[in-house]
Formats: sequence, C-alpha cells, structure tokens
Amino acid sequence: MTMSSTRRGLLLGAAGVTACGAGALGGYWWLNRGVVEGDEARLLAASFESLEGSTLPVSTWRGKTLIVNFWATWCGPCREEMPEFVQAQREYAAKGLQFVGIAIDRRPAVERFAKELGVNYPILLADPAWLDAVKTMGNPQGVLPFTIVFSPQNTVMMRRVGKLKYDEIRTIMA
Amino acid sequence: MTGMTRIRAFALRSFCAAGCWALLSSAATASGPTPPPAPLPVDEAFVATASMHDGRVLLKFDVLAGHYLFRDRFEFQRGDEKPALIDAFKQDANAAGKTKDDPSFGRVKVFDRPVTIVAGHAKSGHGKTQLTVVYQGCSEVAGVCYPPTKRTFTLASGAKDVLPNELAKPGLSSLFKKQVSSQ
Repeated sequence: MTMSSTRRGLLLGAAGVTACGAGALGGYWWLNRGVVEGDEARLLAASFESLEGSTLPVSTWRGKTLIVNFWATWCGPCREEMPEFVQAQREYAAKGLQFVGIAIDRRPAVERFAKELGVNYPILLADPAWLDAVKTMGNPQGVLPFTIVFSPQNTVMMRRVGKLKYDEIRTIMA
Repeated sequence: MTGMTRIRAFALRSFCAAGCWALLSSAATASGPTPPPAPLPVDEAFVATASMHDGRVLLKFDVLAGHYLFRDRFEFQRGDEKPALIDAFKQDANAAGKTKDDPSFGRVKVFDRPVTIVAGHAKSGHGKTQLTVVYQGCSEVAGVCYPPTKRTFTLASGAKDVLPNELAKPGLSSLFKKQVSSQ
C-alpha cells in the first residue's frame, strides 16, 4: 500500500512541529538549568566577613561542589556534624569539594570553637537577618543546622534542614 | 486563637508528636534510618503563655514532646527596667529543670516538659506589667535548634493565659482605627 504525497507531507509536517516544540522546550531547559533564583541567588552573590577579618564573596568558590553550612555555637547538632565536614573537606578537596561555614553567632565564640575543632575550611560570619533569609531557601522555621549543596554549575543539588551525614557527602562526590 | 484553645491544641499535638516519635524510633530500629520530621514553628514547639496570680508573674512553657529549652539561656526583662536577668529559677523549686548529658555542652539543665516559672512580682498599682523573655531550645525529633526567641507579654492584674504580643491578633477596634486612619 502506498501513501499519498499529501498524507506524507502532513505526517512530515507534524513530525517537524513536534521536533521544533521539543527543541524549544529543551533549549529553554538548557538555558535555565544552571540558574539559581531568589534568596539562593542572593546567597551566591553575597559577601561575608571571614574570621581573618577580610570580606569574602561566596562567588570565590564558583566552579566547585560548594557545601554552604549555616551554623552557630549555641546549636548542638551543628557542632556535632562539623568534625565530619572537616574529614570530608580533607578527603574530597582534590575532587573539587569546598565547604563554607556561615556562622550566625558572635565572633569570639565562633573563633574559639573553630580553633578547638581545627576547622580546615573557611568560616564566615553572618548577620542574624540571614536566619530570616534561609526561610525562603527550604528552611521555613529558620532553624540550624541548615546546609545547601551547590553543583559546580551553581544548581542546588541538596537542601538539608538538620545534620548532613558523611555518607551523603560521599554520595554527592561519587 | 485564645490561650486555652492553644493549650488544648498543644495537648493534642503533644500526643501526636509522642506517637510519631515512638513510631519513628521503632521504624528506625526495624528498617534503618528514617528521615527526621520537619521542625515545627517555634511557637508550636514551645507554647508560651503568661498569667498574673497573687501578684506574681507566671510564665508557662508547654514544651512539646521531643523538644527542650535550655534553662540557663533564659533572659527576662520587665517593663522599662534596665535589661537585667531576673533569677526566676531561684524563686521556684519546680523550675530546677532536668539534667541532660549533651554531646556538645556536657551536663546542662533543660526543660523537656511543661514548666511554669515565677518571673517576678507585679508592680504595685493597677497599671499593666510588661515582661520580655528570651529563650532558646532544640528539637530532638527533628535534630535542629531554634535561634534565641524573644517574646513580650503585656499583663493586666488577674490576666490568665496571655499570649505573647507577637502572636496576639489585632482586635476589631484596632483594625477599624487602622482602616479609618489610612483613608
């Protein structure tokens, strides 16, 4: 059975329209895949005071698998998870992992704890207003610890309210 | 929501939280780790109300099951008095708290169940008393800590189960005034 040329043309046209639609959708996804919006974008564009006294932008670590951990010395679970972060930073630094701790706390207490623990990644100091900002980043109650994992392309890979475990970091870096 | 309604809701939530916690614990034992529940709003985890009784300012915290408040992180301030810590706990033997062996802070005193604290005495006269309290606690079930929370209570003589000013809904008259003044 042969197909009439009109019918073949219609089918080809439909296939073309479908392909164009799929292409447009794919293109839109491709263009937007690395875009982080809202307060997470604000976080990536923000600068914080470091323990050394300089002001560091979070964009310093662009291109790495960036784990931003909000914490405070008055938060027990925050203190409990940090030794594993120190270990993971040591283990996976060569593979492009970068932890950044953002302490919403007073400088002397943060300095003391960071020294005690031998923290091997940057610790930045943030204004308490960031406890409100994190409410729109997947932490509606503004509790600690709170961690966001960004891919090297700046997409959000994971948000964690509560402790982030070593096994999860291993899976991220696998 | 009135103070009593909140307390009833708290009792129901406590029951559910305790049940969920027990269920999660048994599930974790049986089939590996289970993700912790999402943390509750701080005013649901620690329901704070204040009352005036026999000239004393009573502050009640209904601590939800699986949560606790640090005793030594309370701060009180009354009215226009200079910021000062009122040693509420010395006045009330029931507010001694429970000793918790915390992995980060060692042996600390916590309130992990409802507690009433005598937070001072009302001033003489018939004026209103204002009390500001700062408290900080954690959720054991969610594995998180709440930042220090500040709440202020305005208490008239004989006031009972008064909610913090931050949670009190504006009355109809104040809404009407607002409406009129904005026109």
